[in-house]
Amino acid sequence: MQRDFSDLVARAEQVVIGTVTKIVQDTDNNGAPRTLVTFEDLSILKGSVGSSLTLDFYGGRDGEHVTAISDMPIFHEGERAVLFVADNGKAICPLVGVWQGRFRVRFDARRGTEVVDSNDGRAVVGRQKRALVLAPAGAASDTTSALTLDQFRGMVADELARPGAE
Amino acid sequence: MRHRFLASILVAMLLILLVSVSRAAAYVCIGSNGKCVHWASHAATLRSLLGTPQTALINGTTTWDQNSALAASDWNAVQANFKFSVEIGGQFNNPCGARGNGHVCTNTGPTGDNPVFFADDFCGRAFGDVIELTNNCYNPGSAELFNAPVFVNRTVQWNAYDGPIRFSSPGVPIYDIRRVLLHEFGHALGLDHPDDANQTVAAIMNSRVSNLDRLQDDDRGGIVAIYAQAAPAPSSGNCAILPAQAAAGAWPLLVFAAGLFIQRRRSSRCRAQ
Repeated sequence: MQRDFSDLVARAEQVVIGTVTKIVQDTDNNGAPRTLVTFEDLSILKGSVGSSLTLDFYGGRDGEHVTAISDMPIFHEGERAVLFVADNGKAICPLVGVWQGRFRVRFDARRGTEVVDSNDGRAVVGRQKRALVLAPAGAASDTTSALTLDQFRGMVADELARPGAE
Repeated sequence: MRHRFLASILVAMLLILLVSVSRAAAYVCIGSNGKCVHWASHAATLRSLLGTPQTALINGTTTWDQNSALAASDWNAVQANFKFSVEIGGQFNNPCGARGNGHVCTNTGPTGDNPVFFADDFCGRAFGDVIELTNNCYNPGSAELFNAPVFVNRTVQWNAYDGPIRFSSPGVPIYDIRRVLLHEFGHALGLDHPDDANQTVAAIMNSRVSNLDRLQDDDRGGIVAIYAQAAPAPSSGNCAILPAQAAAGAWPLLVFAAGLFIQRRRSSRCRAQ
């Protein structure tokens, strides 16, 4: 389901910036495989979260086999992300719009600051009405117009402050 | 001097070729242990249990299941070394439940049974923003698929039509079940999303539902590559595989060099699981 930036902010129960510190594969109460991804070093932009946040994604190792849904975002320890979280532990994927609710944070050495990419690695370069503007595919590491993490954080704050926003 | 001139021409042509190859489309397979997940038998049976809508569908079909058959038929028409069979109706074996005797994985049902059906949730979990999903069950070592049930979210608006996405009201799409099943059956075959691998390519396998309603060259190239052999082994993780036809039409003298380049690209585009 397509979600624009306004949707992401409005529908998220929490919006956080964090670093992946642990990834564990286990089973839920029904014995179904799940992958638990723990984020720490949190900066909370919306909602209430403790000192760490563990997100529950369906799928993973299932005995000697694997069950997997292709749409699920894949995380790696040490990576930084902005996350738009909803229905954690209840839905298949605890992110608004599945992959759309995950943004990658990377350090741009040339600019000396953190910048934000979409889940598919395209730099976020701005906003047009409700939607984010992304750099063309393949240009993420080259673009100098990628929004910094602080700018992105500001956009979330602006959206939350907008009249009529939650 | 003449040799230098010829060498310069060759180098220039090679550079042009490499640039064009590096920008070529590249489908992505679901990777495991350096292989693409795949059906070892090069065949799978889908049991379509979607039933009949209350009114005829826009594309003239009268049942949802006809659209399952059409989507499977589109994949079969690629003439890859793989064949879907579609059975309509019959016994519904609910895929939800623990693995056990005859069930290799949790929530995927009896081995080899691949129902395509409407559901209110995914085995007790909310769909959230997922409109449909394929729950692939495979052996991580051999990458062999055992099950791929397709769950269709009953709570969104469905119809069947060709052409651009239609909306019931601004921002509320009516999903075309045929193109969505085409996408899901691609996952059942072992294909992943090229756009998630930072590629811009026309493909029904892109993660976003779009105005494309039929298979594209990139999709066809994917299934041909996966089933051209038992299991291509590009590298570990989710791998983007450059299609062999990327070099088609290149000057014969440069095909060897392009081949070397393609091999290197195969290794460098993989994402770790």
